[in-house]
Amino acid sequence: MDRAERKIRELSLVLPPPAVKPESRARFVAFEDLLVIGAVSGSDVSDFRSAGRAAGDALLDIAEEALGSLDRVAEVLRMTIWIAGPEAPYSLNETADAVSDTVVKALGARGKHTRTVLGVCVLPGNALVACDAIMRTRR
Amino acid sequence: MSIHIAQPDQPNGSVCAARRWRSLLFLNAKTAQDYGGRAGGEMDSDTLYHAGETLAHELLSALTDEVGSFSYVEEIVQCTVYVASAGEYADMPKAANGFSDVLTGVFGERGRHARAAMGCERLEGDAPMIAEMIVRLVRNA
Repeated sequence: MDRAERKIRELSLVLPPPAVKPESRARFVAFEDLLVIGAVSGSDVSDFRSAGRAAGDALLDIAEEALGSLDRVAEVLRMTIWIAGPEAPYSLNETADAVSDTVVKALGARGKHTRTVLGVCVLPGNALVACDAIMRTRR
Repeated sequence: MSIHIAQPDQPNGSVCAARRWRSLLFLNAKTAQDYGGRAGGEMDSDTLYHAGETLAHELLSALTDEVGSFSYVEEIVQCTVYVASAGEYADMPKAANGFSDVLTGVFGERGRHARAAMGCERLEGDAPMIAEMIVRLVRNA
């Protein structure tokens, strides 16, 4: 138990449980030659484009963790990109492009994908941008 | 049934029109062009139904562009239709029926599909409706 945990116990603080029980949610599922990555968002919320790039980076981090190397991504089949809040830019596509371009920058043509872009009221953790993906993998 | 299939627009940059995995074809989402407004706001149910029809035409256009002929379509597997919705509007399925009815009209039983219809705060280009589609193709398509 580290210092912060001891302090929490001393103060008898009861922290709220995570929104989703960790054991009931996988960050990714891999089977056969598919990798399905659950929705992620980045920590950068300074502006929508930065948040888009951060979400793309977070997605790539999970792909690398799942596969060991991004070289094993054969192609990105599809993505869904969510953009939150009434303050979202008029062009949702501009923000979504920040996500898509981040993926293509890392994977080249293999990163090109079909996508759906949605404006929503709010995202978990008040994130500005979130995304998920289905990827085809190779050995 | 007389349907005008528009020329598909070409997605730019990092987005592609379609991706295949085995017999499944994932089509890039399309918006209902030539319509503006939101369900529960400026758009009534009839207009939304027609916007759904137009949206189906857009996706059929993309499908034709990808596979060349509808004869390569084994079945429409899944469609998700998102409707830009204002206030307490909750009749997204009715709005999405315009979309689904075109698919069953064109393909018959092969066009019957699993579907989700959902309301959304905003959509690309402030379109009233957007849809994505997964199609199963025959072998060697």
